[in-house]
Amino acid sequence: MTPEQLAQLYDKFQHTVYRTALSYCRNVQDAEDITQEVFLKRFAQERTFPDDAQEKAWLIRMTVNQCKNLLKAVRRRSAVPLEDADAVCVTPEEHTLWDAVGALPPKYRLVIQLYYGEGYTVTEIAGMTNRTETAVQTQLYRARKQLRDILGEEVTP
Amino acid sequence: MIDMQHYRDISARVKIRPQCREEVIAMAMQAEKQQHRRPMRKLGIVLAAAAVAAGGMTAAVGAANNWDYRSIFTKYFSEKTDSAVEYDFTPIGQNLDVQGEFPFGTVTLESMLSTPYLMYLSWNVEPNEAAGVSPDDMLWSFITVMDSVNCNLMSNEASAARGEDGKWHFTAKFRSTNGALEPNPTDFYVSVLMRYDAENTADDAIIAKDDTDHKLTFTPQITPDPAMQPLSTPISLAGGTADHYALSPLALVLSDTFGSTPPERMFSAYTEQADASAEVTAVFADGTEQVIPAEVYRTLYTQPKAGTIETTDAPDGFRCYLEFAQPVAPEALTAIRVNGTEIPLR
Repeated sequence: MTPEQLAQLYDKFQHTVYRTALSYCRNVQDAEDITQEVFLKRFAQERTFPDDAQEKAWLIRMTVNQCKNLLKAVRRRSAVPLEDADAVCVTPEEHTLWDAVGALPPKYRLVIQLYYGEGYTVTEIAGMTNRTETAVQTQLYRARKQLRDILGEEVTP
Repeated sequence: MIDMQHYRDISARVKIRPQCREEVIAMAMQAEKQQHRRPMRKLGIVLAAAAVAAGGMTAAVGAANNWDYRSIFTKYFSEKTDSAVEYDFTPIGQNLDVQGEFPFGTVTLESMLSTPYLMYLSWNVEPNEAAGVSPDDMLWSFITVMDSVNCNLMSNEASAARGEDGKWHFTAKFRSTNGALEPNPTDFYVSVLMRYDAENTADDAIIAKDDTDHKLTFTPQITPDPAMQPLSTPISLAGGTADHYALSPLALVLSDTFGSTPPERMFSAYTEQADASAEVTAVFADGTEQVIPAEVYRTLYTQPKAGTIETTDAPDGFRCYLEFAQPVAPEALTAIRVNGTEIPLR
């Protein structure tokens, strides 16, 4: 892959990778670092993908792995700097929803982001995260249940 | 009822800073420049295959692959013994470029020092990050060397270091437990066992994965040991009396007459660490002397006997291997002493 090809790939998928990273680690700086690292790893790979969907799935899978590694390292040094992306919320309801999702455990935030934010199906998420469809469905159910507890209202499936 | 479409709307507004794009492209261009400075990896693999076929060309292969047995083992033995290494490893060194792709990553055998009984092997592991194997999570790599015709070589220690290339580099000593390697062993392979942390379970506990072992088959060149010579003064060590010796760069072998030329068919030939110590002193041509720390291992030989129950309680012969902490060049020595008994070499 050439730097020019990397630039094209970056333009196409940068926000997806960044949003996925941000949803998991909830830290703008970490999400930016992970995004850059994921694209540089892709740059170092010689493999090609048959279509954009598979390319995107690989990038998301790599992003999730990088996030997990980062969180493990963060746990080891017991320091979790917290920031958020409040500027993206327009209404008070959006703020409430954004904060509620942010209060979920990382694995639930991730599944909410991939399902609602990126529009992936349960089957696709299962493939990206190396989990069974049942496990993803269970995580979605539990994530919605926790959101309901936080918000005091049901959320749409 | 909260409509989660709102979440999608919010998410769609999340954008990464434009500066990140420029930084990534700049880093990629920098990486590409560095890549061009390095020799091509594929060229190295081709040269390695040619060198194995032709023999004696391995030094050039190492240069093409960014590793060389001299630098690898000089560093290894220096760190092990905390002293300078002067031996250049050429008589027993060999560069390899044997590679295997496994679920946890790519294993590359880099180089080896080899004699029929002792072998040092260096290898690296490039974790498969796309499969969730992080370089931070590598626990250990364990290799068993197998020659199904003659013997197994085992190691229980490997030095490991994370390289600047992001790979894990390992070096370990292997010792034959039940025989000796032929110069060009057939059906020779190393079996790789890897442990690493890879998965957050539902409870966020970390579990280790991939305990299966994977094989890399290749044909190494084994440098034969010199022939056994009679000792002018027998040496008692590790429960036996040796009357023969052979000196290689990696070890001094002492044996009784039976052990100096053991028959091919053996009921038992088992090697273990001996409950014995040996002070080994090298005597150089200029008269200087150097104590060489050595571990003592012993092989007991038992041959089949007609009409009796086979047992290893009464061995027919033995060998002692005084394994040097640092290699020595036999041609530079005029004599070697073991617990005060001198063995003249000239």
